[in-house]
Amino acid sequence: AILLFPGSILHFFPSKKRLPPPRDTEAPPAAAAISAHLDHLRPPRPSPAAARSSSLPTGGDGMDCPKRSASAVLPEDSLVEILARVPARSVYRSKCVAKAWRDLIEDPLLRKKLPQTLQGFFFIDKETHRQRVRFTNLLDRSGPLQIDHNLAFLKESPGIGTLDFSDSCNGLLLFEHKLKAWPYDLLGYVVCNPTTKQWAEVPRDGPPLPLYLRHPKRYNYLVFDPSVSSHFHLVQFTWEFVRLVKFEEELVVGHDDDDEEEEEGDEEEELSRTSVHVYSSETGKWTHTQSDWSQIQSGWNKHDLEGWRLQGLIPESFCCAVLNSMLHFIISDEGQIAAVDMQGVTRKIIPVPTMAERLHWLEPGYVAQSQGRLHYISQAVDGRLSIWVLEGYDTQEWVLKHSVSFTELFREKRRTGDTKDYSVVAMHPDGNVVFIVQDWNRKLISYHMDNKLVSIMGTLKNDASDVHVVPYVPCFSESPALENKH
Amino acid sequence: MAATPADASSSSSEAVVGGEKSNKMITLISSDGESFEATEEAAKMSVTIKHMIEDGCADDGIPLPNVPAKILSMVIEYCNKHAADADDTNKHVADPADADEDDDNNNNNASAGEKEDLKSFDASLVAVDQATLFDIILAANFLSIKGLLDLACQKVADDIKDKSVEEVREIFKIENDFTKEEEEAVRKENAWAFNE
Repeated sequence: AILLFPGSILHFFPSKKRLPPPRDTEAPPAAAAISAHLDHLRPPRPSPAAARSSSLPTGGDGMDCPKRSASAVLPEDSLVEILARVPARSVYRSKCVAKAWRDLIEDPLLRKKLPQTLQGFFFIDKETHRQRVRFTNLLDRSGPLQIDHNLAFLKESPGIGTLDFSDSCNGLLLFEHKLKAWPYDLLGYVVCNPTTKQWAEVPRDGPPLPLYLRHPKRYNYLVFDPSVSSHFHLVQFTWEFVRLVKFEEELVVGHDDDDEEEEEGDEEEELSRTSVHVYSSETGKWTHTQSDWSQIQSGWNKHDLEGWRLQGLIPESFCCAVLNSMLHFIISDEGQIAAVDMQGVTRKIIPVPTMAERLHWLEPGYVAQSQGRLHYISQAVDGRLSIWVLEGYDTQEWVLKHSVSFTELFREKRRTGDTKDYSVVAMHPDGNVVFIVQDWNRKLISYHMDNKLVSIMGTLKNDASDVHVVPYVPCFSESPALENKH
Repeated sequence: MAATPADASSSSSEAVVGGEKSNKMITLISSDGESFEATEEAAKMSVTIKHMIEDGCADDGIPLPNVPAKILSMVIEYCNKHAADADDTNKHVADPADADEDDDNNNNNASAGEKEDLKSFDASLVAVDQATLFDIILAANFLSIKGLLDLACQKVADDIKDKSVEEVREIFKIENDFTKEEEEAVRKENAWAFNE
């Protein structure tokens, strides 16, 4: 029979250059498969040896190429199409099915089609003048890593000065871009993809601030979801404060250089506010939501979603979870999580779990997205680690997923009293695993909640407080939003 | 300009003029010798068949030695149902470099009600046993019908995503060629993906 396969299959899967084209030897299995449901016609299950011989890649001796027969009932291409549609957890579990499946899933050329998961961690020095970047790989025992592990593609580009890490999201990294040397004036921002080696410059929002003026504090977040759009958003919160001084019966904004002219007893008020600025790579523009100073309130009515900004509260730490295309971060020490959309609008305020017990916690906790749900990880003063999951996003119902004492977790006695001696740096986006840096020996470990397994991932060169530990999920698709490519 | 119906004498001509589609029927012959008729428009949802028609090989019916009658009738049902929005879909199927799946769903031609109708049709088409589902995938692969391939692969994906490793082996008829130690090592490496 004339087979019409070859051309059509190659049309669909252009990346499959490395896979052998369907050969005559595959025809019998396919034809047999069609009638495979008729038991008496079913071919005997191929033994691994037989399977190997019938699907040897045209590379000849098979020593260089993996020997595969990933399925007797479907062509490999179709199997890849199926695996591309299951969640990452299912794909990686399926590595255990057979050697052929493991090889298929680990094949560097096919991996791009499959769902991505946590690949490893970037370690990025916080110190502006040091700028070291390292990468530690969690997956894949073999094969070259496509990810540029020290961001050479970016750092070696002409015109790139100092890069201060801000945030990462779904395969992209965000940096504040500054002058190469002191005083490190802010030039703008850089968004890059270490996997595709693309990057883009984002202009600064407004003119540069003179050095002598107090710099507003900036909190930069990146929102990017390649399954929704190839464009990204920068959501920036800037914290400013003013002194209002009494001048002719009115409170007016005092200037910094008015310091010396203050007289004792002058009425004044210090107010702070947090404004939000959003950059869209699609429009190439910044938009602002700035509140009038007169709107500033002294207390925060939790029902007023934007109230936290008007009170000058700020995101409490670097950690931020992206869920449903919204940023989730903890606000100041209020024990509240703000859910902010890509336009910078606060859509929800979610109180952290069991507010009553917060007295025993070291704040702030850690928020993470894992397996499609928001998680909150708290550390008690006695070192106990608790992981909560938001089961009902709308009902705001937290459920305690797991709790473990210090000694159970680390298998050693605690050296400090009640000071924080370890830091949660990530939760696996697709599994019940928490990554922790042990302050006493700078080791990065993974803790698996379900089987309580602890593995050592590596050792930091400096203290945990000196380095950003950035979990990284690669993004293989090239984005038109990142116009520069190495 | 006068609208010209498909010229019967040039049987493999494409009678597409400014949106007009030919009503010419194409005969498709299953592996077990059964003949099925489909409109050229529906048949062309298969890129394989489309090329055959364009190359003039379709005159005496197209033999499909890898597709049994039961499956072929389902495939034709799919093509008939989806041929209405084939305008946009075909363009994308013909251009394999364009992998934008969003456009497949971007039916400017179908109203919301029609879309719902299509969705439930699709769902019932693939609500079949595993073996038939695999057969549909094989046929859609062979015939290059992207929409049907996507649909069937997604269904299998949904079916297996929560299955255990052993259950997956049974479904795909795979023998476990790991030693106990090897399997344990892979399991440990990917512990995050397991619940135990």
